[in-house]
Amino acid sequence: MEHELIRTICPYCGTGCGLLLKVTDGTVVATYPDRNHPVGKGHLCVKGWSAHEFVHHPDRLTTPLVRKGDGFQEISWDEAITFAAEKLQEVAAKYGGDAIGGFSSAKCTNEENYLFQKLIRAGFKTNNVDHCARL
Amino acid sequence: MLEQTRNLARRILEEKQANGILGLAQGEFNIIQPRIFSEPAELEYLVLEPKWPLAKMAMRILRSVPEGYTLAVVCRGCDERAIYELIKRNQIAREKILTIGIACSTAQASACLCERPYPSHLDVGEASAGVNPFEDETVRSLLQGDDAVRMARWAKVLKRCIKCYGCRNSCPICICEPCKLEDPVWVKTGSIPAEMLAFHLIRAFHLSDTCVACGACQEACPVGIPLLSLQLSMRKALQDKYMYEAGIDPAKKSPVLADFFDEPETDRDVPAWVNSLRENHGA
Repeated sequence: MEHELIRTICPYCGTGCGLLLKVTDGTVVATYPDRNHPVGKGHLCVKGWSAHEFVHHPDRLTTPLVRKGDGFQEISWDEAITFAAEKLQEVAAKYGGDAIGGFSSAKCTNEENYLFQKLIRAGFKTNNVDHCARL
Repeated sequence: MLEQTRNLARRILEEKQANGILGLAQGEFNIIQPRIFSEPAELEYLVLEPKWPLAKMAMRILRSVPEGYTLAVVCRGCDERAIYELIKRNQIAREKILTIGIACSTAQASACLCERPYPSHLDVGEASAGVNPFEDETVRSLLQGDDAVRMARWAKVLKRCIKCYGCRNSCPICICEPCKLEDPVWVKTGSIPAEMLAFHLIRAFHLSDTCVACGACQEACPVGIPLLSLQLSMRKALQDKYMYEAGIDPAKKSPVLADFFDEPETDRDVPAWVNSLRENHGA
């Protein structure tokens, strides 16, 4: 039996409250608010309080899916990235960069979001980039 | 006080009275968080501040420990009372838990409006005097007035609720499974603010005879609802009418669970509704 409390940031929105995830034998079992954290100061909303529930949830997507007919098919990350890159380049070549828009995520780090807007702005030459954490 | 606690904890580990000590640890970047200390050498990281109720965490840990494991918990008064209530409700096995009782400072007691800022089994520190919460201006202003005035006042305050369930989650003795507050029969899902009567009063009344006034609900509330004041009146009613206070005596049953019809009260003021029950239902 191994009990650990892992300090982390709530992945749900751009506020970024501090969480302590209680991990028992490698499984995330509970969430506690981090009383040291300068943003949350020991407070959480309902999503933060239940942040441990999605981690091991059976419905959680763990591989990329590609739409095939009416359903989805699991593919590898390499295949997914190649497929997306090809299609995006195709659209950009045909209709111009402004035909493409990118929506980033609050679940990513600053660095990932920086790279994402770089891809959209410098790669596809458009300012159509936004973020769900525009609260 | 800190050294004394560390020494006591070290002795408990060395003498194998307990397999682990649950307390607060100061780690990297001076960040403090709860931790289980299993080795005496780790105890140099043990700290006592800030106030961080650990009873529920102890309960969860004890659910997954191997046979024969004993946990010692560094307890403030409120933590010890919560542990006693959890023992009464069969959530913690008494032989699996030890307490290291520490006293709260006067400043902490007044910040929490705590009537008993010390555990009944005090190991370290000196008990400071309690605070009468009903002498506090904010509490008084919340509780005064007739029914309609109070209702309107609470409706205004509770309207801020974002239904984060933080009050329920942080409460050391809010442990029902399944929780009534997640049952759509009682509480409408998918809308805020939470309905005052269904959400807040179910919660408050479920805890009426268990609340140990630790204030964890109020501390967890992101919108600053004075939740402790909601419990204080019920605690006071139990103290005044039944001489009962949650968490003081692990053997004493709550009057809500006790069958008081067996022993008619003669020397105490019994609330009128008790007699009405007797008359109307032949109890």
